[in-house]
Amino acid sequence: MAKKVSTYGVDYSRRFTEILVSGALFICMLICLSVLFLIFWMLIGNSIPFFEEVSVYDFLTGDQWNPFHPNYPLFGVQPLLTGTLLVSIIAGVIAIPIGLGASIYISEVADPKVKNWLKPFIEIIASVPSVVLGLFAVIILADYVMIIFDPYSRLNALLGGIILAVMMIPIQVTIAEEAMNAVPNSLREASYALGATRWETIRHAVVPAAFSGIVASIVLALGRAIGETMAVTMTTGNAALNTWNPLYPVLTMPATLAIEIPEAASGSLQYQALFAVGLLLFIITFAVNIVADIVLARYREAYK
Amino acid sequence: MVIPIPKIEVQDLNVYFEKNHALKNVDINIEEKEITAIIGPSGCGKSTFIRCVNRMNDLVLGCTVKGSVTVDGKDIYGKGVDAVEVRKRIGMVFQRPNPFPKSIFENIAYAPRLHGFVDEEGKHHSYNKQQLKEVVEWSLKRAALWEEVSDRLDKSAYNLSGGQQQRLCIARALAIKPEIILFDEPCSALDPIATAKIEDLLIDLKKDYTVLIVTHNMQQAARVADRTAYFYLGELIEFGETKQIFERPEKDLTEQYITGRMG
Repeated sequence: MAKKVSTYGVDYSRRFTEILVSGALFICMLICLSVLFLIFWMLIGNSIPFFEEVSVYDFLTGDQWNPFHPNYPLFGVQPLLTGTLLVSIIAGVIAIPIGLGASIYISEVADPKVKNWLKPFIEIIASVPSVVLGLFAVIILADYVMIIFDPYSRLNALLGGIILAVMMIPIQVTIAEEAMNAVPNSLREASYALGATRWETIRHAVVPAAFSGIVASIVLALGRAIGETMAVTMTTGNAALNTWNPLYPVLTMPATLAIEIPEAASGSLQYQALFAVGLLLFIITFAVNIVADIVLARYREAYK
Repeated sequence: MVIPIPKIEVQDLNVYFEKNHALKNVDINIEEKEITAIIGPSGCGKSTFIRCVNRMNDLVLGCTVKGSVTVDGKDIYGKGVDAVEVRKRIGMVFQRPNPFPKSIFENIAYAPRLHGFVDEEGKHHSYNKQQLKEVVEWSLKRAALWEEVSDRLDKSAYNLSGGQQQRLCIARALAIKPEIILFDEPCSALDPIATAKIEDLLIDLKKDYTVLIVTHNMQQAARVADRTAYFYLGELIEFGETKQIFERPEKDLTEQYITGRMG
Protein backbone atom coordinates (compact mmCIF):
# COMPACT_ATOMS: atom_id res chain seq x y z
CA MET A 1 0.00 0.00 0.00
CA ALA A 2 1.39 3.37 -0.95
CA LYS A 3 2.01 5.79 1.87
CA LYS A 4 0.18 9.07 1.57
CA VAL A 5 2.53 12.04 1.57
CA SER A 6 1.54 14.66 4.09
CA THR A 7 1.09 18.16 2.77
CA TYR A 8 1.05 19.84 6.21
CA GLY A 9 -2.06 21.73 5.11
CA VAL A 10 -4.83 22.86 7.42
CA ASP A 11 -7.40 20.19 8.22
CA TYR A 12 -10.49 22.37 8.54
CA SER A 13 -12.82 19.70 9.84
CA ARG A 14 -10.51 18.86 12.76
CA ARG A 15 -9.93 22.51 13.53
CA PHE A 16 -13.69 23.10 13.51
CA THR A 17 -14.19 20.26 16.00
CA GLU A 18 -11.62 21.85 18.31
CA ILE A 19 -13.46 25.17 18.30
CA LEU A 20 -16.81 23.44 18.77
CA VAL A 21 -15.62 21.40 21.76
CA SER A 22 -13.96 24.37 23.47
CA GLY A 23 -17.13 26.39 22.96
CA ALA A 24 -19.36 23.65 24.39
CA LEU A 25 -17.12 23.24 27.43
CA PHE A 26 -17.12 27.00 27.99
CA ILE A 27 -20.91 27.08 27.94
CA CYS A 28 -21.10 24.28 30.54
CA MET A 29 -18.77 26.24 32.79
CA LEU A 30 -20.82 29.42 32.24
CA ILE A 31 -24.03 27.66 33.28
CA CYS A 32 -22.46 26.51 36.55
CA LEU A 33 -21.11 29.96 37.28
CA SER A 34 -24.32 31.75 36.42
CA VAL A 35 -26.34 29.54 38.79
CA LEU A 36 -24.21 30.84 41.65
CA PHE A 37 -24.72 34.46 40.58
CA LEU A 38 -28.46 33.94 40.10
CA ILE A 39 -28.82 32.56 43.60
CA PHE A 40 -26.83 35.38 45.08
CA TRP A 41 -28.80 37.93 43.08
CA MET A 42 -32.13 36.42 44.12
CA LEU A 43 -31.17 36.44 47.83
CA ILE A 44 -29.85 39.99 47.78
CA GLY A 45 -32.59 41.35 45.54
CA ASN A 46 -35.31 40.06 47.85
CA SER A 47 -33.49 40.99 51.05
CA ILE A 48 -32.93 44.66 50.21
CA PRO A 49 -36.60 45.68 50.55
CA PHE A 50 -36.67 43.87 53.91
CA PHE A 51 -33.68 45.74 55.25
CA GLU A 52 -35.35 49.00 54.22
CA GLU A 53 -38.12 48.18 56.71
CA VAL A 54 -36.12 46.45 59.44
CA SER A 55 -32.55 47.54 60.16
CA VAL A 56 -29.71 45.05 59.79
CA TYR A 57 -28.86 45.68 63.46
CA ASP A 58 -32.36 44.80 64.64
CA PHE A 59 -32.41 41.74 62.43
CA LEU A 60 -29.09 40.42 63.73
CA THR A 61 -29.56 41.25 67.41
CA GLY A 62 -33.30 40.78 67.88
CA ASP A 63 -33.96 37.83 70.16
CA GLN A 64 -37.50 37.10 69.05
CA TRP A 65 -38.65 35.59 65.80
CA ASN A 66 -42.37 35.93 65.21
CA PRO A 67 -42.91 37.19 61.67
CA PHE A 68 -46.60 36.26 61.50
CA HIS A 69 -47.81 38.17 64.51
CA PRO A 70 -50.81 40.17 63.22
CA ASN A 71 -49.91 43.41 65.00
CA TYR A 72 -46.28 43.28 66.08
CA PRO A 73 -44.28 40.98 63.78
CA LEU A 74 -40.78 40.40 65.18
CA PHE A 75 -37.82 39.68 62.94
CA GLY A 76 -34.98 38.92 65.34
CA VAL A 77 -32.79 36.24 63.78
CA GLN A 78 -30.98 35.38 67.04
CA PRO A 79 -33.14 32.33 67.94
CA LEU A 80 -32.67 30.87 64.44
CA LEU A 81 -28.94 31.55 64.45
CA THR A 82 -28.59 30.01 67.89
CA GLY A 83 -30.70 27.02 66.85
CA THR A 84 -28.63 26.39 63.72
CA LEU A 85 -25.31 26.74 65.52
CA LEU A 86 -26.45 24.65 68.49
CA VAL A 87 -27.60 21.75 66.32
CA SER A 88 -24.44 21.97 64.17
CA ILE A 89 -22.16 22.08 67.20
CA ILE A 90 -23.86 19.05 68.75
CA ALA A 91 -23.52 17.23 65.44
CA GLY A 92 -19.87 18.24 65.14
CA VAL A 93 -18.99 17.21 68.69
CA ILE A 94 -20.45 13.77 68.05
CA ALA A 95 -19.41 13.26 64.43
CA ILE A 96 -15.86 14.65 64.32
CA PRO A 97 -14.23 12.25 66.80
CA ILE A 98 -16.27 9.24 65.64
CA GLY A 99 -15.70 10.03 61.96
CA LEU A 100 -11.99 10.54 62.51
CA GLY A 101 -11.70 7.34 64.52
CA ALA A 102 -13.60 5.33 61.92
CA SER A 103 -11.54 6.70 59.04
CA ILE A 104 -8.29 5.95 60.87
CA TYR A 105 -9.50 2.44 61.60
CA ILE A 106 -10.46 1.77 57.99
CA SER A 107 -7.31 3.30 56.53
CA GLU A 108 -4.65 2.21 59.00
CA VAL A 109 -5.85 -0.61 61.21
CA ALA A 110 -8.32 -2.80 59.32
CA ASP A 111 -7.17 -5.85 57.40
CA PRO A 112 -7.21 -5.02 53.64
CA LYS A 113 -9.88 -7.66 53.06
CA VAL A 114 -12.12 -6.21 55.74
CA LYS A 115 -11.43 -2.70 54.48
CA ASN A 116 -12.78 -3.56 51.05
CA TRP A 117 -16.28 -4.17 52.31
CA LEU A 118 -16.18 -1.83 55.31
CA LYS A 119 -15.83 1.34 53.25
CA PRO A 120 -18.76 0.81 50.86
CA PHE A 121 -20.82 -0.19 53.88
CA ILE A 122 -20.26 3.18 55.53
CA GLU A 123 -20.82 4.98 52.24
CA ILE A 124 -24.29 3.42 52.06
CA ILE A 125 -25.29 5.64 55.00
CA ALA A 126 -24.60 8.65 52.77
CA SER A 127 -27.08 7.32 50.23
CA VAL A 128 -29.96 7.06 52.71
CA PRO A 129 -32.37 9.93 51.93
CA SER A 130 -32.40 12.49 54.74
CA VAL A 131 -36.17 12.15 55.12
CA VAL A 132 -35.67 8.47 55.95
CA LEU A 133 -33.03 9.33 58.53
CA GLY A 134 -35.40 11.92 59.95
CA LEU A 135 -38.11 9.29 60.22
CA PHE A 136 -35.72 6.92 61.95
CA ALA A 137 -34.78 9.66 64.41
CA VAL A 138 -38.36 10.63 65.20
CA ILE A 139 -39.68 7.11 65.61
CA ILE A 140 -36.80 5.15 67.14
CA LEU A 141 -33.97 7.41 68.26
CA ALA A 142 -36.32 9.83 70.03
CA ASP A 143 -37.38 7.05 72.43
CA TYR A 144 -33.79 6.49 73.55
CA VAL A 145 -33.10 10.21 73.85
CA MET A 146 -36.23 10.47 76.02
CA ILE A 147 -35.07 7.67 78.30
CA ILE A 148 -31.42 8.67 78.58
CA PHE A 149 -31.51 12.47 78.62
CA ASP A 150 -35.06 13.23 79.74
CA PRO A 151 -35.41 16.28 77.47
CA TYR A 152 -37.97 19.07 77.77
CA SER A 153 -39.79 17.80 74.70
CA ARG A 154 -39.62 14.71 72.53
CA LEU A 155 -38.31 16.71 69.59
CA ASN A 156 -35.27 18.77 70.55
CA ALA A 157 -31.88 20.12 69.48
CA LEU A 158 -30.03 17.06 70.77
CA LEU A 159 -32.09 14.67 68.64
CA GLY A 160 -31.48 16.89 65.60
CA GLY A 161 -27.77 17.03 66.38
CA ILE A 162 -27.52 13.25 66.67
CA ILE A 163 -29.21 12.60 63.34
CA LEU A 164 -27.08 15.29 61.71
CA ALA A 165 -24.00 13.56 63.07
CA VAL A 166 -25.19 10.35 61.41
CA MET A 167 -25.29 12.27 58.13
CA MET A 168 -21.90 13.91 58.66
CA ILE A 169 -19.95 10.77 59.46
CA PRO A 170 -20.02 9.05 56.04
CA ILE A 171 -18.96 12.27 54.28
CA GLN A 172 -16.14 12.72 56.73
CA VAL A 173 -15.03 9.08 56.60
CA THR A 174 -15.01 8.95 52.81
CA ILE A 175 -12.84 12.04 52.39
CA ALA A 176 -10.57 11.57 55.40
CA GLU A 177 -9.95 7.91 54.57
CA GLU A 178 -8.98 8.88 51.02
CA ALA A 179 -6.60 11.52 52.34
CA MET A 180 -4.91 9.03 54.65
CA ASN A 181 -4.81 6.39 51.95
CA ALA A 182 -2.96 8.87 49.74
CA VAL A 183 -0.16 9.20 52.29
CA PRO A 184 2.73 7.32 50.68
CA ASN A 185 3.71 4.07 52.35
CA SER A 186 7.32 5.27 52.46
CA LEU A 187 6.33 7.68 55.25
CA ARG A 188 4.86 4.87 57.31
CA GLU A 189 8.01 2.83 56.73
CA ALA A 190 10.17 5.77 57.79
CA SER A 191 8.26 6.00 61.03
CA TYR A 192 8.28 2.28 61.76
CA ALA A 193 12.00 2.07 60.97
CA LEU A 194 12.59 4.69 63.66
CA GLY A 195 10.98 2.39 66.20
CA ALA A 196 7.55 4.00 66.28
CA THR A 197 4.54 1.86 67.14
CA ARG A 198 1.47 1.75 64.92
CA TRP A 199 -0.36 4.34 67.01
CA GLU A 200 2.68 6.63 67.11
CA THR A 201 2.99 6.29 63.34
CA ILE A 202 -0.68 7.18 62.84
CA ARG A 203 -0.55 10.12 65.22
CA HIS A 204 2.78 11.66 64.25
CA ALA A 205 3.28 10.65 60.61
CA VAL A 206 0.03 9.71 58.85
CA VAL A 207 -2.45 12.17 60.35
CA PRO A 208 -0.16 15.22 59.99
CA ALA A 209 0.60 14.25 56.39
CA ALA A 210 -3.12 13.93 55.63
CA PHE A 211 -4.05 16.96 57.72
CA SER A 212 -5.38 19.09 54.87
CA GLY A 213 -7.66 16.31 53.68
CA ILE A 214 -8.88 15.67 57.21
CA VAL A 215 -9.70 19.36 57.73
CA ALA A 216 -11.48 19.38 54.37
CA SER A 217 -13.53 16.35 55.41
CA ILE A 218 -14.64 18.04 58.63
CA VAL A 219 -15.48 21.33 56.97
CA LEU A 220 -17.45 19.72 54.16
CA ALA A 221 -19.38 17.62 56.66
CA LEU A 222 -20.06 20.68 58.82
CA GLY A 223 -21.21 22.60 55.76
CA ARG A 224 -23.65 19.80 55.11
CA ALA A 225 -24.86 19.93 58.73
CA ILE A 226 -25.43 23.69 58.72
CA GLY A 227 -27.46 23.60 55.52
CA GLU A 228 -29.34 20.34 56.12
CA THR A 229 -33.09 20.90 56.11
CA MET A 230 -35.33 17.88 56.07
CA ALA A 231 -33.97 15.76 58.90
CA VAL A 232 -33.56 18.84 61.07
CA THR A 233 -37.07 20.10 60.40
CA MET A 234 -38.45 16.71 61.40
CA THR A 235 -36.47 16.36 64.61
CA THR A 236 -35.75 19.68 66.31
CA GLY A 237 -39.29 20.65 67.33
CA ASN A 238 -39.16 23.97 65.45
CA ALA A 239 -39.85 26.38 68.31
CA ALA A 240 -37.98 29.65 67.97
CA LEU A 241 -36.66 29.62 71.53
CA ASN A 242 -33.49 31.59 72.02
CA THR A 243 -31.69 28.89 74.00
CA TRP A 244 -28.37 27.04 74.07
CA ASN A 245 -29.91 24.16 76.03
CA PRO A 246 -29.72 21.04 73.83
CA LEU A 247 -32.74 19.50 75.57
CA TYR A 248 -35.10 22.22 74.31
CA PRO A 249 -36.70 22.43 70.90
CA VAL A 250 -35.07 24.90 68.52
CA LEU A 251 -35.80 26.37 65.09
CA THR A 252 -32.94 26.34 62.62
CA MET A 253 -32.57 28.68 59.65
CA PRO A 254 -33.09 26.02 56.96
CA ALA A 255 -36.14 24.70 58.81
CA THR A 256 -37.52 28.24 59.03
CA LEU A 257 -37.30 28.64 55.28
CA ALA A 258 -38.84 25.23 54.62
CA ILE A 259 -41.75 25.80 57.00
CA GLU A 260 -42.53 29.46 56.57
CA ILE A 261 -41.97 30.17 52.87
CA PRO A 262 -45.20 28.33 51.92
CA GLU A 263 -47.11 30.38 54.51
CA ALA A 264 -45.79 33.80 53.53
CA ALA A 265 -47.59 35.83 50.90
CA SER A 266 -45.30 36.41 47.95
CA GLY A 267 -43.73 39.85 48.17
CA SER A 268 -44.83 40.46 51.77
CA LEU A 269 -42.43 41.60 54.48
CA GLN A 270 -42.43 38.08 55.96
CA TYR A 271 -41.56 36.68 52.56
CA GLN A 272 -38.65 39.08 52.20
CA ALA A 273 -37.52 38.41 55.78
CA LEU A 274 -37.11 34.74 54.87
CA PHE A 275 -34.83 35.70 52.00
CA ALA A 276 -32.76 37.68 54.47
CA VAL A 277 -32.48 34.51 56.58
CA GLY A 278 -31.47 32.60 53.46
CA LEU A 279 -28.84 35.23 52.69
CA LEU A 280 -27.42 34.97 56.21
CA LEU A 281 -27.31 31.17 55.92
CA PHE A 282 -25.50 31.47 52.59
CA ILE A 283 -22.98 33.91 54.08
CA ILE A 284 -22.28 31.52 56.99
CA THR A 285 -21.65 28.48 54.81
CA PHE A 286 -19.60 30.64 52.45
CA ALA A 287 -17.51 31.91 55.39
CA VAL A 288 -16.94 28.36 56.66
CA ASN A 289 -15.53 27.41 53.27
CA ILE A 290 -13.33 30.51 53.07
CA VAL A 291 -11.92 29.85 56.55
CA ALA A 292 -11.18 26.26 55.54
CA ASP A 293 -9.38 27.47 52.42
CA ILE A 294 -7.23 29.85 54.45
CA VAL A 295 -6.33 27.15 56.98
CA LEU A 296 -5.42 24.76 54.18
CA ALA A 297 -3.38 27.34 52.28
CA ARG A 298 -1.40 28.21 55.40
CA TYR A 299 -0.74 24.55 56.12
CA ARG A 300 0.43 23.90 52.58
CA GLU A 301 2.74 26.90 52.66
CA ALA A 302 4.37 25.61 55.80
CA TYR A 303 4.96 22.06 54.66
CA LYS A 304 5.28 21.99 50.89
CA MET B 1 44.85 -14.14 67.74
CA VAL B 2 41.60 -12.53 68.78
CA ILE B 3 38.60 -13.75 66.91
CA PRO B 4 36.15 -10.86 66.63
CA ILE B 5 32.59 -11.62 67.63
CA PRO B 6 30.33 -10.76 64.70
CA LYS B 7 27.90 -7.88 65.27
CA ILE B 8 25.15 -9.67 63.39
CA GLU B 9 24.97 -13.44 63.03
CA VAL B 10 22.42 -14.79 60.58
CA GLN B 11 21.71 -18.50 60.74
CA ASP B 12 19.58 -20.59 58.42
CA LEU B 13 17.38 -17.64 57.46
CA ASN B 14 14.38 -18.49 55.31
CA VAL B 15 11.75 -15.97 54.22
CA TYR B 16 8.45 -16.71 52.53
CA PHE B 17 5.96 -14.30 51.00
CA GLU B 18 2.79 -16.39 50.95
CA LYS B 19 4.20 -19.35 48.95
CA ASN B 20 7.11 -17.55 47.35
CA HIS B 21 10.37 -18.70 48.92
CA ALA B 22 12.27 -15.38 48.87
CA LEU B 23 15.35 -16.23 50.93
CA LYS B 24 16.84 -19.70 51.18
CA ASN B 25 19.03 -20.93 54.02
CA VAL B 26 21.10 -17.78 54.38
CA ASP B 27 24.05 -17.91 56.78
CA ILE B 28 26.16 -14.81 57.10
CA ASN B 29 28.16 -12.95 59.76
CA ILE B 30 28.38 -9.18 59.68
CA GLU B 31 31.42 -7.68 61.40
CA GLU B 32 31.31 -4.67 63.64
CA LYS B 33 32.28 -1.24 62.28
CA GLU B 34 32.62 -2.43 58.74
CA ILE B 35 30.63 -1.76 55.62
CA THR B 36 29.07 -4.88 54.20
CA ALA B 37 27.56 -4.56 50.74
CA ILE B 38 24.80 -6.80 49.45
CA ILE B 39 24.75 -7.08 45.66
CA GLY B 40 22.82 -9.14 43.16
CA PRO B 41 20.30 -8.82 40.33
CA SER B 42 16.77 -7.48 40.90
CA GLY B 43 14.53 -9.85 42.81
CA CYS B 44 17.42 -11.78 44.33
CA GLY B 45 16.30 -11.07 47.89
CA LYS B 46 18.78 -8.30 48.78
CA SER B 47 16.15 -5.95 50.19
CA THR B 48 14.28 -8.81 51.81
CA PHE B 49 17.47 -9.80 53.57
CA ILE B 50 18.30 -6.33 54.89
CA ARG B 51 14.70 -5.91 56.07
CA CYS B 52 15.06 -9.01 58.20
CA VAL B 53 17.78 -7.36 60.25
CA ASN B 54 15.40 -4.75 61.72
CA ARG B 55 12.24 -6.83 61.36
CA MET B 56 10.67 -4.53 58.79
CA ASN B 57 9.35 -7.63 57.04
CA ASP B 58 7.01 -8.14 59.98
CA LEU B 59 4.94 -5.31 58.49
CA VAL B 60 4.44 -7.14 55.19
CA LEU B 61 1.27 -9.20 55.11
CA GLY B 62 1.82 -12.88 54.49
CA CYS B 63 5.53 -12.75 55.22
CA THR B 64 7.05 -15.55 57.30
CA VAL B 65 10.61 -15.47 58.63
CA LYS B 66 12.33 -18.64 59.86
CA GLY B 67 15.80 -19.02 61.31
CA SER B 68 17.68 -16.65 63.56
CA VAL B 69 19.22 -13.20 63.32
CA THR B 70 21.44 -12.57 66.32
CA VAL B 71 22.42 -8.99 67.08
CA ASP B 72 24.96 -8.52 69.90
CA GLY B 73 24.30 -12.07 71.05
CA LYS B 74 20.51 -11.74 71.16
CA ASP B 75 18.20 -13.43 68.66
CA ILE B 76 15.88 -10.65 67.48
CA TYR B 77 13.38 -13.26 66.29
CA GLY B 78 13.49 -14.99 69.66
CA LYS B 79 10.63 -15.25 72.11
CA GLY B 80 9.66 -12.11 73.97
CA VAL B 81 11.45 -9.77 71.56
CA ASP B 82 9.40 -6.76 70.48
CA ALA B 83 9.98 -5.72 66.86
CA VAL B 84 9.42 -2.08 67.83
CA GLU B 85 12.29 -2.28 70.32
CA VAL B 86 14.53 -3.83 67.64
CA ARG B 87 13.81 -1.00 65.20
CA LYS B 88 14.47 1.56 67.93
CA ARG B 89 18.09 0.43 67.99
CA ILE B 90 18.78 -0.14 64.29
CA GLY B 91 18.71 2.75 61.82
CA MET B 92 17.38 2.38 58.28
CA VAL B 93 17.64 4.50 55.15
CA PHE B 94 15.46 3.73 52.14
CA GLN B 95 15.73 3.78 48.35
CA ARG B 96 13.97 7.09 47.92
CA PRO B 97 14.43 9.90 50.39
CA ASN B 98 11.31 9.83 52.55
CA PRO B 99 11.35 12.84 54.85
CA PHE B 100 8.16 13.62 56.76
CA PRO B 101 6.19 16.64 55.56
CA LYS B 102 7.53 18.57 58.52
CA SER B 103 10.37 20.99 59.15
CA ILE B 104 14.00 19.85 59.02
CA PHE B 105 14.17 20.11 62.81
CA GLU B 106 10.99 18.10 63.35
CA ASN B 107 12.19 15.37 61.00
CA ILE B 108 15.28 14.76 63.12
CA ALA B 109 13.44 15.25 66.42
CA TYR B 110 10.75 12.73 65.44
CA ALA B 111 12.27 9.63 67.05
CA PRO B 112 14.01 11.37 70.01
CA ARG B 113 10.67 12.90 70.97
CA LEU B 114 9.00 9.47 70.90
CA HIS B 115 11.69 7.50 72.67
CA GLY B 116 13.41 9.88 75.07
CA PHE B 117 16.73 8.57 76.37
CA VAL B 118 18.13 6.39 79.12
CA ASP B 119 20.84 7.79 81.41
CA GLU B 120 23.81 5.95 82.96
CA GLU B 121 21.72 4.77 85.87
CA GLY B 122 19.19 3.25 83.52
CA LYS B 123 16.51 5.85 84.16
CA HIS B 124 14.23 6.93 81.35
CA HIS B 125 13.93 10.63 80.49
CA SER B 126 12.27 12.62 77.78
CA TYR B 127 14.33 15.26 76.00
CA ASN B 128 13.90 18.86 77.03
CA LYS B 129 14.07 21.62 74.43
CA GLN B 130 17.78 22.25 74.81
CA GLN B 131 18.68 18.55 74.68
CA LEU B 132 16.48 18.11 71.62
CA LYS B 133 18.33 20.95 69.90
CA GLU B 134 21.61 19.29 70.74
CA VAL B 135 20.52 15.94 69.34
CA VAL B 136 19.30 17.57 66.14
CA GLU B 137 22.53 19.51 65.71
CA TRP B 138 24.67 16.48 66.49
CA SER B 139 22.75 14.28 64.03
CA LEU B 140 22.88 16.84 61.23
CA LYS B 141 26.61 17.37 61.77
CA ARG B 142 27.25 13.64 61.79
CA ALA B 143 25.35 13.34 58.49
CA ALA B 144 27.37 16.23 56.99
CA LEU B 145 24.26 18.33 56.47
CA TRP B 146 24.53 20.89 59.28
CA GLU B 147 26.48 23.50 57.29
CA GLU B 148 23.86 23.51 54.55
CA VAL B 149 20.73 23.72 56.70
CA SER B 150 21.68 25.26 60.06
CA ASP B 151 20.03 28.58 59.13
CA ARG B 152 16.72 27.05 58.05
CA LEU B 153 15.92 24.26 60.46
CA ASP B 154 12.32 25.47 60.68
CA LYS B 155 11.78 25.20 56.93
CA SER B 156 10.11 22.24 55.27
CA ALA B 157 12.33 19.27 54.51
CA TYR B 158 10.66 19.15 51.10
CA ASN B 159 12.60 22.25 50.02
CA LEU B 160 15.89 20.32 50.16
CA SER B 161 17.43 18.68 47.10
CA GLY B 162 17.20 14.90 46.72
CA GLY B 163 20.73 14.35 48.00
CA GLN B 164 20.16 16.65 50.97
CA GLN B 165 16.89 14.87 51.74
CA GLN B 166 18.70 11.55 51.76
CA ARG B 167 21.34 12.89 54.15
CA LEU B 168 18.47 14.25 56.25
CA CYS B 169 17.07 10.72 56.37
CA ILE B 170 20.50 9.48 57.47
CA ALA B 171 20.60 12.14 60.19
CA ARG B 172 17.11 11.13 61.24
CA ALA B 173 18.26 7.52 61.59
CA LEU B 174 21.36 8.61 63.54
CA ALA B 175 19.17 10.49 66.00
CA ILE B 176 17.97 7.19 67.51
CA LYS B 177 21.64 6.53 68.41
CA PRO B 178 21.84 3.15 66.69
CA GLU B 179 24.92 0.95 66.43
CA ILE B 180 23.80 -0.57 63.14
CA ILE B 181 22.52 1.32 60.10
CA LEU B 182 20.86 -0.39 57.16
CA PHE B 183 20.91 1.26 53.74
CA ASP B 184 18.50 -0.06 51.12
CA GLU B 185 19.90 1.25 47.80
CA PRO B 186 20.30 4.74 49.25
CA CYS B 187 21.63 6.31 46.04
CA SER B 188 19.29 4.81 43.46
CA ALA B 189 17.34 8.08 43.17
CA LEU B 190 20.36 10.40 43.29
CA ASP B 191 22.70 12.00 40.75
CA PRO B 192 26.45 11.15 40.74
CA ILE B 193 27.51 14.16 42.83
CA ALA B 194 24.93 13.51 45.54
CA THR B 195 25.90 9.83 45.40
CA ALA B 196 29.57 10.66 45.95
CA LYS B 197 28.67 12.71 49.03
CA ILE B 198 26.66 9.82 50.48
CA GLU B 199 29.53 7.42 49.79
CA ASP B 200 32.00 9.70 51.59
CA LEU B 201 29.58 9.85 54.46
CA LEU B 202 29.24 6.05 54.54
CA ILE B 203 33.00 5.63 54.85
CA ASP B 204 33.05 8.22 57.61
CA LEU B 205 30.16 6.53 59.46
CA LYS B 206 32.06 3.23 59.46
CA LYS B 207 34.24 4.55 62.29
CA ASP B 208 31.30 4.40 64.69
CA TYR B 209 28.67 2.23 63.08
CA THR B 210 28.16 -1.17 61.54
CA VAL B 211 26.83 -0.50 58.06
CA LEU B 212 24.89 -2.83 55.81
CA ILE B 213 24.18 -1.53 52.34
CA VAL B 214 22.14 -3.01 49.52
CA THR B 215 23.24 -1.66 46.19
CA HIS B 216 22.52 -2.13 42.53
CA ASN B 217 25.70 -0.39 41.67
CA MET B 218 28.70 -2.71 41.72
CA GLN B 219 31.20 0.15 41.52
CA GLN B 220 29.61 1.54 44.65
CA ALA B 221 30.12 -1.75 46.48
CA ALA B 222 33.72 -1.86 45.28
CA ARG B 223 34.30 1.73 46.42
CA VAL B 224 32.84 1.62 49.90
CA ALA B 225 32.48 -1.93 51.18
CA ASP B 226 34.90 -3.95 53.26
CA ARG B 227 33.02 -7.12 52.54
CA THR B 228 30.55 -7.97 49.83
CA ALA B 229 27.85 -10.60 49.67
CA TYR B 230 26.41 -11.75 46.37
CA PHE B 231 22.81 -12.97 46.36
CA TYR B 232 21.13 -14.78 43.50
CA LEU B 233 17.55 -16.10 43.43
CA GLY B 234 17.24 -15.92 47.20
CA GLU B 235 20.49 -17.67 47.95
CA LEU B 236 23.73 -16.29 49.29
CA ILE B 237 26.15 -17.37 46.57
CA GLU B 238 29.37 -15.87 47.83
CA PHE B 239 30.56 -13.69 50.68
CA GLY B 240 34.03 -12.37 51.33
CA GLU B 241 36.38 -9.43 51.28
CA THR B 242 35.27 -6.96 48.60
CA LYS B 243 38.64 -7.09 46.86
CA GLN B 244 38.50 -10.86 46.62
CA ILE B 245 34.88 -10.90 45.39
CA PHE B 246 35.64 -8.47 42.60
CA GLU B 247 39.09 -9.70 41.64
CA ARG B 248 39.02 -13.43 42.32
CA PRO B 249 35.44 -14.62 42.71
CA GLU B 250 35.31 -18.29 43.64
CA LYS B 251 31.91 -19.05 42.12
CA ASP B 252 31.02 -18.88 38.45
CA LEU B 253 27.70 -17.15 39.21
CA THR B 254 29.49 -14.34 41.03
CA GLU B 255 31.94 -13.89 38.20
CA GLN B 256 29.18 -13.80 35.62
CA TYR B 257 27.41 -11.07 37.58
CA ILE B 258 30.39 -8.84 38.32
CA THR B 259 31.69 -9.07 34.77
CA GLY B 260 28.27 -8.01 33.54
CA ARG B 261 27.33 -11.18 31.76
CA MET B 262 24.20 -11.51 33.87
CA GLY B 263 21.81 -9.35 35.84
